[in-house]
Amino acid sequence: MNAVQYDKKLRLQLFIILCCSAIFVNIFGDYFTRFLLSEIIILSLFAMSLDFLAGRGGMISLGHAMFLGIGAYSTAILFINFNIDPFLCSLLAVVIGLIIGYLIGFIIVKTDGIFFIMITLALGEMFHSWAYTNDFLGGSDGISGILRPKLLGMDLNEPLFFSYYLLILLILVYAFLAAVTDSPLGRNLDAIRQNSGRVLSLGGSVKLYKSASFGISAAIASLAGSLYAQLNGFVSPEISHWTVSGEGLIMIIVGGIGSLSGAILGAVVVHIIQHEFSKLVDWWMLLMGGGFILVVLFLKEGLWGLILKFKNYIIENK
Amino acid sequence: MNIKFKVWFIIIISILLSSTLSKAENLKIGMLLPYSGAVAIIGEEITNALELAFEEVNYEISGRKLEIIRADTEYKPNIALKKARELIFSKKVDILAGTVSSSVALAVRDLVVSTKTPFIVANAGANQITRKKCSKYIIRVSFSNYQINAPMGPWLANYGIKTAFLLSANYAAGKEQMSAFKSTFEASGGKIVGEEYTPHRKTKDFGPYLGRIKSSGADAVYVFYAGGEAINFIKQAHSFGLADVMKITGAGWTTSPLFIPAQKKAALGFIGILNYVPSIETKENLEFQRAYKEKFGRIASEFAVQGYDTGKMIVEALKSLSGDTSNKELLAEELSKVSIIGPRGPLTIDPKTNNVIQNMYIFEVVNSANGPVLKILDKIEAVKDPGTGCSL
Repeated sequence: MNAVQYDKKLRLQLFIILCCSAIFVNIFGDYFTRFLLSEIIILSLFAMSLDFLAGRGGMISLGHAMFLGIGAYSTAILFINFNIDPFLCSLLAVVIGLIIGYLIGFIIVKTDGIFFIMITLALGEMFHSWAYTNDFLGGSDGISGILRPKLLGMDLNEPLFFSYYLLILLILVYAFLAAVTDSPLGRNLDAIRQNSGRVLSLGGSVKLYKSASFGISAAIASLAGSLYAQLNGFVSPEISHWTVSGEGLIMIIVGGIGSLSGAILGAVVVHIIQHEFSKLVDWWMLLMGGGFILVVLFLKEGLWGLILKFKNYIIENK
Repeated sequence: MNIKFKVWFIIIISILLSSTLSKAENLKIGMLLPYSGAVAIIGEEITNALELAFEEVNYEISGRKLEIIRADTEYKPNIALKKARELIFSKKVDILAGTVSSSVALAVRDLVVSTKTPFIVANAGANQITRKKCSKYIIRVSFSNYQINAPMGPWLANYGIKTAFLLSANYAAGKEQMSAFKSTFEASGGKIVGEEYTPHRKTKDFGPYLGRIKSSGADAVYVFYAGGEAINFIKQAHSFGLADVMKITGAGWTTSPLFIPAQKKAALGFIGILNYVPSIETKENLEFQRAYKEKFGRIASEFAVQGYDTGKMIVEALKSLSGDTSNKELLAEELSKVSIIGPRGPLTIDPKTNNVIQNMYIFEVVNSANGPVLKILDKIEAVKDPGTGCSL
């Protein structure tokens, strides 16, 4: 899996533009736009976790929605059955995601390419089927009645505050992932992605690095799942279906794999198009599919590539 | 003051004025149903029939137009919740109706209660919607899973069935239906000799299950399936010869009029129970079936009837309020007070739970000149859901 051209400055610029437009939308939007914004930010978190895994670690996971499910269900159970503070629930969900992700990663990162995809797909589907038939998890009906946290005297059930809360988390996660990408771990992952055999012969611990990155990615996906449960007040097994992982991959491919802020842009674009198309015609999925094929054929580096070209064009013509 | 400024001033003032002089707004009904994917047909049936009910009053109540706003739930709770939010906050609908899936209904439950939006459940059958999770803003005109299956226990026991085998898809609705039948069947002296739950929407080959059912030696198998699984199960049970050794019985959706054209003769002999069968011979039903066939060219299914009754109830409630929907609490109250005689017979809403009180029909699939039809064997009147744990 090739990642896009590396441009640290552009990555930050794009991220700042996206954040500013989010704040703008949040101030001037109505109740529903704020909800849509919250959903997009959560999907961006999920897309970033996939982007980190696929772009840096070179691992394509078709079962990543499992970690969304783990985060969402652990939040639901901790809150409903154990009455734990919602904010603490999210933190615990991250820890649970990290541990499960690392353990699973430790076992499966040995495999590569198509085998890795199949293993993650199988694990994801196992989780989905288990949640679907488990009575404790509410089976196919799911669990409802999950509340949002109250922080610093602010009730996050107010959508304006919740969007800002999510935005702050998005900035934190971005900063963390950007730091990891530029750290020795990120560089090692780049090396492993390009030639894992050589890294191994140089004495690098391929397995440790890969499973660590799988764990990090799982923890972020788990955070996204936990927030999604709090946004909807509800969790059902659909959240961990493999099509959700597929949608996440579509988002990062449209955005440009390995560009972090491109993943966010992809999430924004795909989600808004999906929302608008589904209002127009009943066969909107066909339009989405067609559009995706065009992106894959003609925009190999996604929207990120387009922006990069635009930037280079401006520099050349200065 | 120059002339340009005056012109602008007049334009701005007139825009401001025109926005305040609002005319009578439409009565908006938000339809929260699947319009794409495998169960889109059920969404279509419900909407079609609801439109039929609105056509009877020419889409108008006390001078206000009725407007239907469709929202495709894709059969997914999270998508449905988003659409429900859009309908309530952006489109400002007066009434929400729909949901085929129980998980979708439960997902939007907290939202409609907190925003005080009257929500008419037109299909979803999870018991808890009108039990633990009941609310005065949620009115169910369809059924509860318990309500449909419970009367079948004593009836089958009376019919001479002593032992039964349970078979259904492994998901919440399937399990609820089976446990409803099980509780009343065992209370009437029957015995359950075995149960199997198959992977939901993934089972294509029923062979292993059919073998187990046959060797169990039960008098009857009690099943619930819908869609492709219902078609496959009935066909495979037929070619397996299961009907030679035991009665095939179950919740009536298994041989719904939607699936019978695909099941054909394999469905013959099935005994089922449901809140509606097309062969009810009342004036209301004959008139409804005629109108539906004229417009859509096919026999209306039980889903269509639920949509039609939803439409009728909305019309009646709005009429009694003369089209005034400003007080949502009053609107929900009026909706729950409506009682009509629909194609399935008399309908009233149980004031204790807001679940519908309706007749149940026990039918057998028999042959006729036009292929298999559902022949009514028995009618059980005014069936209620116990509504355990509900306080309105």
